[in-house]
Amino acid sequence: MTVTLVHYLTFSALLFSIGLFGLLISRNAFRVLMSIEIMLNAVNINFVAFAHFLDPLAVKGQAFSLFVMAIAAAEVAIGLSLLLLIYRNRMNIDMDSFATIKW
Amino acid sequence: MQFLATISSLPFYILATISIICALGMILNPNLVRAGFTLIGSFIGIAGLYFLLNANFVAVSQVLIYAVGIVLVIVFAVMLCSLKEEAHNIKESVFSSKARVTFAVLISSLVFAVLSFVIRSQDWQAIAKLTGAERQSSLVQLVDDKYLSQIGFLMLNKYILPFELVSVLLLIVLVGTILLSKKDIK
Repeated sequence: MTVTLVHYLTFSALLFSIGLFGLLISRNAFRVLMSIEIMLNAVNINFVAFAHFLDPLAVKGQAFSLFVMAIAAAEVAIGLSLLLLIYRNRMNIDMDSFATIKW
Repeated sequence: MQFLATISSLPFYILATISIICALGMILNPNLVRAGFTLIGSFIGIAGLYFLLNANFVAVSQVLIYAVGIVLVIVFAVMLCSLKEEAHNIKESVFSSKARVTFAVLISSLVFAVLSFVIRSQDWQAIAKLTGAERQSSLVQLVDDKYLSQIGFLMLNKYILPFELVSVLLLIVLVGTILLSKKDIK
């Protein structure tokens, strides 16, 4: 059996669910950021797999995966600086303690 | 022939297993810094999958941006926060409430079930015929080394607007990060 598009898509769905599991289970804000990175990577695998199997000449999916990477880097930079700011103010980064920062 | 096909699909399974095990290890490892370094293993496994998919430039960017850049920045921020007392009792804080774990397992397995059902129910052969991938795949060997120029061509022609927007976004992020991490934010 050769590896087809379905294999890649199923793998990416599994990785996305693992990222979602980590996002829901973890209370530490850093681990939440890492789980979001896993989910973004799962989406990227989809883009590249579609580009390889359905669009092998004009590889649009690869260009999109590069955009996703740039936006992930931006998200991590802003997220981490916000976390450091919160840590400086209240000396912990438990997700449940953020519930008071609503408006 | 069967044996050859099995051998050629082996790298996919090895890399996929590595990245899934590392992703699970990231979530379940009680030490945050070790969790960050486990994430590198997952990203490198995914980069190997990109190599298998003929996406060499994306694979190299994956290693450079994710595995080195993003993970290192996260690990440095973890170290800056010096969560010593939390590192000791994080195990109980991760697994504290049974209801939370049950909810997370339920939701994520539901999402996986729905996604895999949708993936299985599609007729990908017909879609490949529709997009003309069947005809093109015989030409792939010819343009194998032209992927990079094709990506550059797309970025500067068809996708010039998102490309420029990303550069503006990165500039805004640069300014915003400096503003947020200033000591006396007024």
